[in-house]
Amino acid sequence: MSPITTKYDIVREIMNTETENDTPKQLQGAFGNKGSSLTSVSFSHPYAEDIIGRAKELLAESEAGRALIRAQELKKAPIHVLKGNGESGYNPQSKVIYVPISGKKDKLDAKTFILFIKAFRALEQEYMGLETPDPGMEVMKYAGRLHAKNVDCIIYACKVVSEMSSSEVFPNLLDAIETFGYIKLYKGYESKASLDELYDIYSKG
Amino acid sequence: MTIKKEYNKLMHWQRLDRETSLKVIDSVKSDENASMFSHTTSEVKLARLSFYKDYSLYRVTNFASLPSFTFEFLSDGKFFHYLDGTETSIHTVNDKGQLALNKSNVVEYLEFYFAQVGSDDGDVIVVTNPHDMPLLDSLEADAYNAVFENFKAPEVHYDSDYEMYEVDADLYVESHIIRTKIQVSAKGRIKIKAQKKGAQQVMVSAGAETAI
Repeated sequence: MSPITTKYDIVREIMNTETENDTPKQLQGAFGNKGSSLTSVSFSHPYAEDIIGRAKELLAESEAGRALIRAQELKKAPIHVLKGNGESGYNPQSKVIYVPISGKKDKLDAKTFILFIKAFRALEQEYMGLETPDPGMEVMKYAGRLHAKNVDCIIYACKVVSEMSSSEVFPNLLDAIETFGYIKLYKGYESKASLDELYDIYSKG
Repeated sequence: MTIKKEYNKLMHWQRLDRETSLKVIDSVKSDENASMFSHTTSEVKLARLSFYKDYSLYRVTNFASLPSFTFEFLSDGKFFHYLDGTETSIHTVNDKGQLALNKSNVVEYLEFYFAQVGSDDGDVIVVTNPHDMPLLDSLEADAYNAVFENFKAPEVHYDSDYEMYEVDADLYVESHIIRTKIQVSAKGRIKIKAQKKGAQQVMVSAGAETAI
């Protein structure tokens, strides 16, 4: 196939998965239930160290980001970068920050940086009275607490991004904010909306 | 919003009973990752996939954190293959002879594949319904209308000589909609055969998954 330009090259490049690497392989990542041959899968991302390093470098560009780094270092909370998709978070039981990134990625991207901010903020929440609710509590109360924590994490991500407006990566961060569906909250934050108004924006989706 | 979240909304999830859930959690837990899978704060759901014979999609969620951690696996109840954002686990299950593609489920397979694997540079979605387009609300009015005007539902053809399916479908890739011809082999390998420029629309958020 002859070379073509821009997005069409990209889509061909990224989706041409029929390569010599696709010949049937020995089982990878399979593990049986207890009692059978148990081969543990590592969830850890092979580029975790680089990704964490870059995330901290970028966090350090903003005052709000530096506060997150201080909290993480003060609490000595390990950061586990996992292969996979999904949300980041802080596990108060293990006191570990978890951030997922696709196994295909070898570098930090803007979406994952937003996930870092949210996970670091979730750690900070535990020490400022906004603890993770017990899943056994009354459902409405539980949901209310979850949403309160979630909106706080998102607003904090908006704060960090806003403080990075002069950074060269700012356009990517704004794209990531948009991709996550946080752009209305970001605009609300930028226009100095009150906390109640931000909650209102959040609740309207 | 993420592509995967949107895809997951379309799945029919069935919550497993306590005993089965504990067995699954024990299967995917090791000393290294024990803290990620708690008996008391995790739940397990299962969704059938029409294109697999004995394998289903398992989702283990730990509610101890916020947001809750979710891990997905392809499993027959015995072997668990972690879906880590690469195609490895899908190909492994396919190579076990589990894939049963036909004309009515091949598009579903593509949706699943792209939701799990995406691309090196971002999300990929098969547009089967323009109302489900990501970031639709972010589009300017002209672009919004063009999405609907240019939309063509996926068309599936089977090439018996090569034992593969050819799917003409709109793909949302890197913030563009591109009409593509996708080859899907009997083993579930995916190849973009050709792209047509006609349906292209410039959209937003192109840099969210670029390395920074």
